[in-house]
Amino acid sequence: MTTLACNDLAIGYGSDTPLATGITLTASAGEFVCLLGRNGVGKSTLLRTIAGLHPAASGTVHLGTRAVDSLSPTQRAREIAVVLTERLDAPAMTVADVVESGRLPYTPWLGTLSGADQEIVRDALVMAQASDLRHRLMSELSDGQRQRVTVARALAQTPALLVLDEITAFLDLPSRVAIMSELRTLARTRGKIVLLSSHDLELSMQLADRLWLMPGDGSVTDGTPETLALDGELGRSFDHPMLRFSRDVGAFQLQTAFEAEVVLSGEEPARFWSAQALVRHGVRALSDESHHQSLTRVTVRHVSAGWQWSVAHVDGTTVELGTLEEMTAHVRSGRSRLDVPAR
Amino acid sequence: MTVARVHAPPPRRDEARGRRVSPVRTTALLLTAVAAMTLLTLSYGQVLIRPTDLVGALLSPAANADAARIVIDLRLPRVIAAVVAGSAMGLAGVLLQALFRNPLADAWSLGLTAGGQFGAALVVVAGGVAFAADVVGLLRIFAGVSLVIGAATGTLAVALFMAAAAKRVTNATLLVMGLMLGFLSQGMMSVVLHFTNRNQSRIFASWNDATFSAVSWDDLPVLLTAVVAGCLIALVRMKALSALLLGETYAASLGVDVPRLRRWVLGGAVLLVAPVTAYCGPLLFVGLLVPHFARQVLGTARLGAVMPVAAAGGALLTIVGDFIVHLPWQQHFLHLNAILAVVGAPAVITLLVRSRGARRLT
Repeated sequence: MTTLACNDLAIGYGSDTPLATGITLTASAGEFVCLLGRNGVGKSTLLRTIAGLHPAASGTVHLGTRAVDSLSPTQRAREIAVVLTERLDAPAMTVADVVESGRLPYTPWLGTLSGADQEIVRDALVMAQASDLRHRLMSELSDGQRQRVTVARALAQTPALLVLDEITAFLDLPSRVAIMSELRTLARTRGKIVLLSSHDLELSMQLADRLWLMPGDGSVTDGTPETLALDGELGRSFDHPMLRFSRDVGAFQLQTAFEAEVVLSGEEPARFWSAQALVRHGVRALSDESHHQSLTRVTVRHVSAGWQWSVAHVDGTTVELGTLEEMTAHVRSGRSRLDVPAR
Repeated sequence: MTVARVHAPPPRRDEARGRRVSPVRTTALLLTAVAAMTLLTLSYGQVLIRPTDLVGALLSPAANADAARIVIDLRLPRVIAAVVAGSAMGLAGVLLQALFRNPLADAWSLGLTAGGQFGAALVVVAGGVAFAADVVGLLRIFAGVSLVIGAATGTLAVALFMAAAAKRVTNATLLVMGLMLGFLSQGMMSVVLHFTNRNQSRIFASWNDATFSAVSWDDLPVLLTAVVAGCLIALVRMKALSALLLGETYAASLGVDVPRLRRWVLGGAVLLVAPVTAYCGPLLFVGLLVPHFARQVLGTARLGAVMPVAAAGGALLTIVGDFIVHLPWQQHFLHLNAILAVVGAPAVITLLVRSRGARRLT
């Protein structure tokens, strides 16, 4: 099986300081790899270097046993296909024309497609779920449809390695989920290496077999999403004064300046969303085990009409509330705040 | 798929998609029309040659000396030049539009024709200086290979300049630059002519309007050789050029050496445009309109389909134009470029307003 390996790779432009150095990474056939990093850290340059479209500053990229820069342009085009960030702008071309162009590295000098080529084009359209667009003009397509066609075009190249650069940037969430899950399925069922750069950390964490993180300090970290989260690598790569990766929630959370604290307990999922609402209003929600006798206690439970919150104040009074909004408003009210001196 | 479909624009071009026209059939149809127009143009003009006389003149010129002189010496080279020039300009338009990824690119709008004209003008003036007032010597220069070389040099210079400029300016700016180069070349020719004699001025006055009448049998080998070479380059580079329709990076990812492709295609375009400009003058609008016509009819921009249709369509457009110019008018003031402009300018304006491709210009 084909393996992609970067050995002590440095990427960059000309004599400028390299964007990243000492990159040693591997990915195996069947793996869906997401490359994550903030804007400008060199994700696109890394992808272009791996795809052989940009020379490496130093080090090598191997696909199987061959170094990518030792392949002839045609051999390279048979092994590596790319999908770029920029919209594929070919207004007067039909979808079929665009997808068929993926066969150019295989066709004779006039570019005539054989029956086998036609079959591969059909297959690529099916895999990218774009068969029904076949006779449409590119200029008529929505962004999501256009992206499917560009993926189909890359698949028609029957590459071992598929490199996709920020292709989901201008798609809505359902389209992003759809295209990324399809790519993962593709990697698994067709034994391809699929390498995708993305901003979409949470989606990538759920779908990728492996993450490559570019924290912006010139390094690239490789690992499974869970290990990277658990080790705090994700936090190191992406934390920001206002945003911090929460290992408990598995997502980034806005850093709030808390004005008060309460003890929160009760049935899920109401407890989780009550905590979210309180955090948003500047109230830290501590779990039951923390036994802060000096704090207001909020308990949520399921009742026939829905959810019910009871707020027990330190002075012994208890208030029953029927909605989440009433609860947060009550906790935020002056009286509650008196109980809970801000830290 | 339901998600994607929600965002899809209404399928307005359903009908157009249904009739995806065969490129082979379209080309055959156009070539038949070209053949018919050729016969019509050979027989119809200031002097009417009846079909029987036409056949006689073509088959046994010696027995039909009068008809043969008109048909073989005057009309046939003119018609061949029209067909060759029209195909060359149509094909050059396809090449340049693909190369510049600009729907309004063509030899004229990019200023290649202007460069060719100016190059040829310099050769004529140089010839005029060398041969003083010797009109015969001047005409010999005018008919010679040197003229084509002058035009090719001018065309190539502009082509290289525009290719370099295309990396820095938008498509719209590039077209304005091309038109400005046209004015510049006109102005410079007037300045040059100001310092030369009247014979040369007269030659230029008719040449500026484009005509196929000036082409003789002696000119055709040079014209044909260059144009056939240009066609071969277009054919050999067609596959790589179709990858470039997707953009430079995609072309590179498909194994195309883009800088090398650029050089070849620019060279091919120069071989197609320069001899036509040298012998027939600046043909307006042909290279701009014909590729659009081809894409519209075929419903695709695939080069394998567009190229033959554009070449045949270009030939048809120029031969019809030439036929109209040479109708037995009372006074002979009608010029080929006048006809091409009357057809072409409104068509370009329509394209600018309606074509979705033109939106890319900004």
